[in-house]
Amino acid sequence: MRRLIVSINVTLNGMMAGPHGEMDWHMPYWDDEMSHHAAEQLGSADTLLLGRITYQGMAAYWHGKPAYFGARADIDYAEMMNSHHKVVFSKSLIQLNGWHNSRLAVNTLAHEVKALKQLPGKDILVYGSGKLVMALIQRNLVDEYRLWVYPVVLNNGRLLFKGLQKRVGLKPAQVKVFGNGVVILSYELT
Amino acid sequence: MRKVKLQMQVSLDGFVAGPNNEMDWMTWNWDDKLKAYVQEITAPVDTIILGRVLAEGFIPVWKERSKEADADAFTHKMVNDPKVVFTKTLTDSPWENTTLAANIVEEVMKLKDQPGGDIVVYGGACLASAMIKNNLIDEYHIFVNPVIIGKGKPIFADLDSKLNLKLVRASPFDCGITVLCYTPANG
Repeated sequence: MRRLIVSINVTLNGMMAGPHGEMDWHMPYWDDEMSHHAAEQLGSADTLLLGRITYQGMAAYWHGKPAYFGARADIDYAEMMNSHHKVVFSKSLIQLNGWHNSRLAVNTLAHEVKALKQLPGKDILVYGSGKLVMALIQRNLVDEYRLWVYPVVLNNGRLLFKGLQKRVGLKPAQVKVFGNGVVILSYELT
Repeated sequence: MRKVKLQMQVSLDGFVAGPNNEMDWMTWNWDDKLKAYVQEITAPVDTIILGRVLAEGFIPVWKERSKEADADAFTHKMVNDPKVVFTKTLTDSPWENTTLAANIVEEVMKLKDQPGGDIVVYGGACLASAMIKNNLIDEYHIFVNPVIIGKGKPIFADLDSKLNLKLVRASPFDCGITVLCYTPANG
């Protein structure tokens, strides 16, 4: 069965963004080694789930991306971002702005995810979307976490797992270490 | 200057204890390689720093263990190494080889200036937070446990600015703990 993987950039102290959603702390680390790995990861999936804010940010960036400029890994990445099936979960959006192969979810999160998992296909990836991730965790829909842990501690910000009411035991899967000190800690759900 | 090492178990969501100091979520059945890692980082240590609440558990527990016939060198080291316990309330130390101190920055700087081996701090959350805030840690050994606990005590919440670190090594262990070792980044 298809697996749902949550892949997120986090600080060492578990924050996915600054207090106003700032992501500037992770940008200086982004290099070829990480881009290559991100492209591999995206290639093992064919579907992305997104919350509204992440969708709007990504659609604006990738929709008009001139895919013929840039390094091969970036071109591949852009092609995949544009061609992958994108399912957007939002209570407020009534239509999407035309990013290729995107649709608004019409059923509940649990219903949509279970239906997607039943279909043949590659992995389902969830980047960011803090509220979406929390909703997925609460409904036990996540199969694997990949936390890209940066060698940075933010003194203020949004905790990834904030508000979780129960303990979640995990099974460590892989540890990937990049030359720049970023580490991917992967965990499967037990 | 002497090196100060922090060694603490941390949940995946960044807590070193539950809200009421619960430690039941931690992995304690360390495999041999993790034990060897700890032996390696503890070998050059000759002073142990603790917060009072942690000391009240730590000191008697290791003392009891040291009375067993199969107590190993590490156990004896935990008992015999001189300790400094930070407390605002105690005036007399109820423990052997242990001195009390109240001013964290002053005391730790004084220790670092003295000749000697490495200093290790095992917690608790309050002491670790204060030492991190005041840039007193030279080496972080973060034992990442494979569990999200939802709420608890963090150690990085008192920082007043971003802290940049340099990864020294990342080591996964069979018991499920992954140790992330960092030093403060320059500049």
